[in-house]
Amino acid sequence: MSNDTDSIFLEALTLLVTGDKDILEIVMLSLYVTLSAVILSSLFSIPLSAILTIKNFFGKTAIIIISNSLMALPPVVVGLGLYLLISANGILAAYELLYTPSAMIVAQFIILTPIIVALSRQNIQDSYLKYDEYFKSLGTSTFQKIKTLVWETRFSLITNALAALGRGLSEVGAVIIVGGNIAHQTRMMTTTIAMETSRGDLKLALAVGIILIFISITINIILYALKLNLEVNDGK
Amino acid sequence: MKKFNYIITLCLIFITINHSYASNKFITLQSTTSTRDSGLYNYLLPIFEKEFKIDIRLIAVGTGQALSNIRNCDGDLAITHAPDLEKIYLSKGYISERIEFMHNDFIFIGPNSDPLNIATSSNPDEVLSKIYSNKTKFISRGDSSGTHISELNLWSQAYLSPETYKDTWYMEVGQGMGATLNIAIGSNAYTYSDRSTWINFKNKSNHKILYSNSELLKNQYSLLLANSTRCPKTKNNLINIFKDWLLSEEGKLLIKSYMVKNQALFHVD
Repeated sequence: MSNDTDSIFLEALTLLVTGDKDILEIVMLSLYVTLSAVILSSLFSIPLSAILTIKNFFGKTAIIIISNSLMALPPVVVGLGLYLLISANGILAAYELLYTPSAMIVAQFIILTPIIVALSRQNIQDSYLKYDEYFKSLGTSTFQKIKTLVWETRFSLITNALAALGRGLSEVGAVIIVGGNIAHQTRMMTTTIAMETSRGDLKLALAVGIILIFISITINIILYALKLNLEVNDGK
Repeated sequence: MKKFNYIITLCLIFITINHSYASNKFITLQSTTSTRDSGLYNYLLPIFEKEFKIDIRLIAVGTGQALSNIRNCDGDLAITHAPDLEKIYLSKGYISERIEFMHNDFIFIGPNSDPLNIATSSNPDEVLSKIYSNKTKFISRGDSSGTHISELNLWSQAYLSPETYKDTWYMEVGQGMGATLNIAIGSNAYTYSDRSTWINFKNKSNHKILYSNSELLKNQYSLLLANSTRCPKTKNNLINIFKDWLLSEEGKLLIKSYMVKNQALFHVD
């Protein structure tokens, strides 16, 4: 068994070091899809979280409850629902999204948004309690409030994005349905792992899994360094 | 505000990159997983793509899903292996044409030790009755795939109904062929597979082919064309080019000469 394990690590390393063209393409697509989904979802979720914290309006509680519940949604269900919408018979058929990387980004956006909203709302709310008096005394506008709160919580928000990134990179159920795992088009790391497992090539599947972990570690190191650097510059 | 502009620019770049994915001419092929896992497409499709400058986007799913996808107009072509179901689709007009173009056979897989001695059976009925009467663990696809439908037909031909033993020895896993083989091997059980998936399967461990019969266990693959009256976006001219090429002498020769481990995997009709 230990021999087997060794050779799996060796295979993963060889794939990485030799820069296997197909693997590189798969890794780049995974990063492209998940990073896009995380960035787009953050752009949407963070202002939304701030508004949900600051403003009181009709239906606010409903939005919060629905958003929290959506965190439990299995990716396969998101994939199926989206498939029905963008399929040739679906109401969004005109956009021709099915079996494209864009469809996978949309699927991940739907999966990641509830997570980023729930986490960010908590961070922003904590910060809001601190600044509430200050805002009141200055009569700050809503836009200014959002800007201040987001800026003050930026480090926590980056951590939230990282949590979402991890979830996105490891997701397979939704992207395999709307992407179709097409070679050179929509094949990602997770869909490759699922496919190779089903072909009984457990070694290659695990090797890709190891690459996935390796990439995840690298991203986390870079962002951690970035965060430390920012904190030092801020004199914290 | 500068940062905001930066983010907007990033988004625009993403969208632009995305558009570059939309390539020239392509057709979407919905296929059963067994032909993908056999490696046939990796060998066959690039030759076609190079010759005709038409990309083939291959979606490999179970036969049941491939058929329902083409019925939803999400594909121009399908390659599946469930003759009875395909004929129903043809009669209902979900597809416009069905062409039987290649076949191989189904096989029974089990532990090398073969405790039931199914290897000496004289026909598939005998294999199944041995499994049935001994209540030996049997892993079924249970996913409405071509292989699953073929397995169910065999049980009913033998007048046996394993469905009543779902809670004990007859296990429906609802997964693809490879995953099913992994489970059968992990639990030392018998199972039913198509030949090409098994030959290509890398995690054989202590299992092997115990019974085969190319006459009675024929595995027929057909090419299905989407119905352009139902699905106006079907690329009729492109799919006809593919059809003519696949059925030409060149296409037949390529399929016939595809070998894995010195064995031909598919025979042309």
